[in-house]
Amino acid sequence: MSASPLLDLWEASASQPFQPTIGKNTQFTVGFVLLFTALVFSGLFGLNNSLKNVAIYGLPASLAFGFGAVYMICAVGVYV
Amino acid sequence: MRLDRWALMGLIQLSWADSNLTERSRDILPSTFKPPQHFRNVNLVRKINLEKSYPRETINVVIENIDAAPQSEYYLPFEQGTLGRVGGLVVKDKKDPDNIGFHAEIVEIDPYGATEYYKITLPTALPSKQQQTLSLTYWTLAALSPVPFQIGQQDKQYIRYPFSAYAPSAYTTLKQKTKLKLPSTDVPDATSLPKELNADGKADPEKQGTSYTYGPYNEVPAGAVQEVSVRYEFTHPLTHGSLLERDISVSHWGNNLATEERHWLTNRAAVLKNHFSRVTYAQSAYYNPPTSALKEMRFPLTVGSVDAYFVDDIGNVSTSRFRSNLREANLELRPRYPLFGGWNYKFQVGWNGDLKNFVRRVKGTGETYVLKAPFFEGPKQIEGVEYERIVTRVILPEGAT
Amino acid sequence: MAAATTEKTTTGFFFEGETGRNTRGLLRLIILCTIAAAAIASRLFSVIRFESIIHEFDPWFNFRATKYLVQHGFYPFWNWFDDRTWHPLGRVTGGTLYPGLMVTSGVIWKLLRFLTLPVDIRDICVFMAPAFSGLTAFASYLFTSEMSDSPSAGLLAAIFMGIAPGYISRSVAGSYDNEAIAIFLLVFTFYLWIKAVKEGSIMWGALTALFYGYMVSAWGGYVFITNLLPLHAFVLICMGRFSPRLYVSYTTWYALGTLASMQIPFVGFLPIRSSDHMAALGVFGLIQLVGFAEYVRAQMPSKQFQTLLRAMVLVVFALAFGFLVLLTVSGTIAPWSGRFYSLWDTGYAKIHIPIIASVSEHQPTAWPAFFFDLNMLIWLFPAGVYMCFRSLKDEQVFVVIYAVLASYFAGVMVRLMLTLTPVVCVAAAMALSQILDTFLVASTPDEGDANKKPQANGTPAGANGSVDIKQQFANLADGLRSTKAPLVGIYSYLSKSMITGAITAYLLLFVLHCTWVTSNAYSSPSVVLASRLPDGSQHIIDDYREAYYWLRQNTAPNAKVMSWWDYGYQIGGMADRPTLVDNNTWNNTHIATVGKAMSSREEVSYPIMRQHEVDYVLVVFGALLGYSGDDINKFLWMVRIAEGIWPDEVKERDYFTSRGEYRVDDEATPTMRNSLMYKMSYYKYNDLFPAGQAQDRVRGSRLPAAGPELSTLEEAFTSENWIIRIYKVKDLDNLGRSHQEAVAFEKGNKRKKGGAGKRRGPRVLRVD
Repeated sequence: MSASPLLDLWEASASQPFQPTIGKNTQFTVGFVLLFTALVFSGLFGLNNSLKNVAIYGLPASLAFGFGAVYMICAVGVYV
Repeated sequence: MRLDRWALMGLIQLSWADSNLTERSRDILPSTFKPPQHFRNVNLVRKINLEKSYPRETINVVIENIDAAPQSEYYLPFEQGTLGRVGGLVVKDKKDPDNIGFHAEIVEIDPYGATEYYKITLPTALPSKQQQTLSLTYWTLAALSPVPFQIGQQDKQYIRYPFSAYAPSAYTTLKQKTKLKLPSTDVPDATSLPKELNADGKADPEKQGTSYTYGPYNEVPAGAVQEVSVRYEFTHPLTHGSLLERDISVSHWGNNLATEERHWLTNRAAVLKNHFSRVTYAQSAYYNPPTSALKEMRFPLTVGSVDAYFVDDIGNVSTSRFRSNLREANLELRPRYPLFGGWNYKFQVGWNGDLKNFVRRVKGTGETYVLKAPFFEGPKQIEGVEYERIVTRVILPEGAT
Repeated sequence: MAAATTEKTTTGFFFEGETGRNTRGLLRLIILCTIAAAAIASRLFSVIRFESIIHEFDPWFNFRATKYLVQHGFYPFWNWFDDRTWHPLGRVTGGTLYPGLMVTSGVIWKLLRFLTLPVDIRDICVFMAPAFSGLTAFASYLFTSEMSDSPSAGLLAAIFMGIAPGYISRSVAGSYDNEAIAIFLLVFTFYLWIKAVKEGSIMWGALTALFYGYMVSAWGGYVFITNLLPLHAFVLICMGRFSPRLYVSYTTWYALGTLASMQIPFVGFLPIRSSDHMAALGVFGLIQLVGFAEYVRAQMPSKQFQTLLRAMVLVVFALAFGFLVLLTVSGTIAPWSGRFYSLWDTGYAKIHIPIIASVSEHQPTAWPAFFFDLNMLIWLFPAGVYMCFRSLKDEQVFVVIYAVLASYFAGVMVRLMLTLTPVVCVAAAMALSQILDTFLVASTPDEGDANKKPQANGTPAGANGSVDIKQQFANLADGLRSTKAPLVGIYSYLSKSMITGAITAYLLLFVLHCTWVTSNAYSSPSVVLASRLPDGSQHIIDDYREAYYWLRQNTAPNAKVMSWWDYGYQIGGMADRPTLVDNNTWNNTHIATVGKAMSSREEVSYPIMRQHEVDYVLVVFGALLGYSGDDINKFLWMVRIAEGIWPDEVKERDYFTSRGEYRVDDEATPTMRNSLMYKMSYYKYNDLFPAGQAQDRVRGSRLPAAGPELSTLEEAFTSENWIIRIYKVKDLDNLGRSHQEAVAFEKGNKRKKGGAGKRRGPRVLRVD
């Protein structure tokens, strides 16, 4: 097989395999914690919905739900 | 090694398929085209290996430049229609394996011509009167046909392979012979050639166990053909994949490399004379005789593969086993029904793998990654599998550039 | 559990004032979400045990239609003429189906793709029923909350609805049938109707009509609503409860709903032409008359005149009714459909329409089935209905009517258990919430305080938190003391704890029963069978798909497959091959033709098959495995249906022995043993066993030593466990012999020479 520059690049990067922050084993935990946080926060927001609470509860809840959903989807085997 | 060869086979097939689309307009030569007679084959040994469900031919040839000027373009002829079925072509320098950089391309000829050519460009032009030893290996798809075409469910299957006793060549060949390697000694038919043709004055072919030798022959002009055929026992499936679609999707969120393959398989073996009989099949299951039916397939996957699945158009197929440990990952699957000759089966398999085995960050750059994934991981059968067309798609994460 | 959460009397921020109300709302929401999750989760047994697969028979058609919809778009679907079923007739599928289900999943599919979630349409179809059952739980919460003031009744109804086996039977994951969404629509339409009657608002009436239209597009059972709402209105009028509210809601619903229902091609002009819909029209007319009479009476002082008016109303009504009957008799209005008759006379179908009677879900319900499907709800149900009588407002009248009608129907036909389940859940929840509300009050009521806790409400004082309402009730109770029911308060902690404990135990048992029934009875896809190996591990028997996939891959794309109609949809969906008859059963004669081909001798069947261009014949055969749902067991229905059309050629009596037994062994009648079905089933089956030992494990009998011979068909494929056998219909003989002669010749020849004779001579069409 002919050596190609890409293969050289691959060999040169041997010490740096792709390593994401959240590994496959922790995806479920992270996803669950984030989703639960989202649930609690949106509940708290629902109890007392004022403009001030949008920043305190609403935003974190949305963010937590978004990321939590991504990780939960990954954790159940649909890798997006 | 096997895998590599497979990969290469697919690769070349793919590039050929592409060239069909892109290069058609470029290089069409008239049907009267004759390759310039710059070379002469001094000595040629051809080995035809018929042990698999596809023939593999290796031509070891000493070529000599008989032109005044250095030449680098060597032509390899194929009969009309065969070239499209060449599954892979490997060119090597027999004497010097490190001599790389051979380039092979199809020379398009208008469709009415009888012969088509591969043009092989040598890495360095061969000076006048110099010799070089080339090793040309190629596989031909769908080249074997069962004779008789219809057999009983438990009968032996015989395969006929027609070929030319003279190796295909666009040049004059001074000395040549063809060796056949057959899978068994049960060979009811092999065309005999008269003594007069043979250089040693012996009758062709010469038998030795499972190998048959035609030749040696003395000088043969370019394009000479001496049709012969052998018919031998081969009670194995002739598995033919008309299409393989392969998706490799990279998920950086999920830290996962998902592979999915969709296979369209046909068994080209002899069709059943009578219809399928379950009684006979169930009875034969106890002593498991050789059969031309494809019963199971084994997929050797990349070590570390997980979550393998095997489904077809109407859902999961429960008859599969997946064994995965530190040293190997094997997916063994049985189709819903045994594939007898002429039967088709379409299915898909898929599996996941950790991304760290496939993706690495390029040194010295911020967000550049390099992905190395197998082009092709097909089923590994003792008798071999051939694929007509392979489409591999790599799906990168959203936003990757 | 539901009651307990509302019971918390903890003083503090979360449970007082405005926040308190929000907290309770939030808790209720969370509980409802949990109930929906439980409802969905309990329907996933089959997906976990097997896979995401479409179940049974009808869902395969719905799935195929849905695929057609998402592939070709809405309008081609609307105009779909399917030439791959009912060969050679075809079926105007677009005009003969209820498109609601397919369109719903198509819309969901489109929506998810729009959100860049590429979900396979099959998965949407599989999970459709569980998802909608979550919604049904929510709808029954709303419905019950309209019935009862107790806050726990709705939640109880929701959880009952969520896990009651009677509903789960039709809505497990993979059971992609019309009922999957129809029960939600049914309950929700009823909720909207109650709301409309209560408020007398055009908006709610219009919403009722909207969901009624959706319901019509989804399920043929919409006729139940079409008759129940008018009946409710009629009973209210008879009870002298005519009110402008009723008038507004009924007329709005009827006008808009009828128009909406007529948009469905399959329904078309039925609402004004068929007897099933005449009750709604009649009550519509009646309500106009009554409305007019009420108006006039308000203007007229004279008593005599009012009597006259009332008489006139009656006369007009009687005349209209007579006119209707006349139209029905003369044929302008279609008479009651056969299925409808079989609702009143359970023996009707057996005599007149064997095709309806042959379906197991159309059989009358056995008594244990009620307990099996509803468990403890069935004895709470009458209590709940009784509770409705205690405060007989308009909406309670509705529940009573619904309960009476649905109980009757559920007794007549097994599948109508489905319509009974919602009302049972609602009534049981009302009864149970009453008990819980009475017994779960932690504080001991004192004599003076008793007045402040009216029984009808039952809300514990602390939980409500709003002093105003409590005060109001107290005032009310004081003011209307004589009209109130006697007040009940529980003093003893012992009885409180005992009752609470007993109820809790019942509820737990109920959950246990539901889970058990769901897991064991209703979660089998029937396409895939599971068996246990001796070591306890699960073994999957996948013969159906093996054979269907073989057909799909190895036969010509337009090869016609003949099978009994049960398998038509599956062949269409999984094997993707044209079929002669399928589960749509719109053409009885065609089905009888197939029945005749199956039950006659080969010489009779072969011309029939040639005429219908049959290439393959598929039979289901369970004798090897002991699979009792096979074609030999269904064979008598084929005979009966064929006999209905050709009484001279096929006779049921001929298939029974002289002692009236249905046998397949040595004593089977010649007619039976020469029938195509018998031959196809047992062809070469003997070869599996030592000579003379062949055993039929379904019928439990030993088969004749010599197996049947086939001359016009040849075996093409048999699945691993012999459940499906496929035969290829032979072409005409090359030498113009009859197939019997040809086979005999081949055999004789084989014995002598061991090779087939030379084939010579031109092809001659044999004239039968």
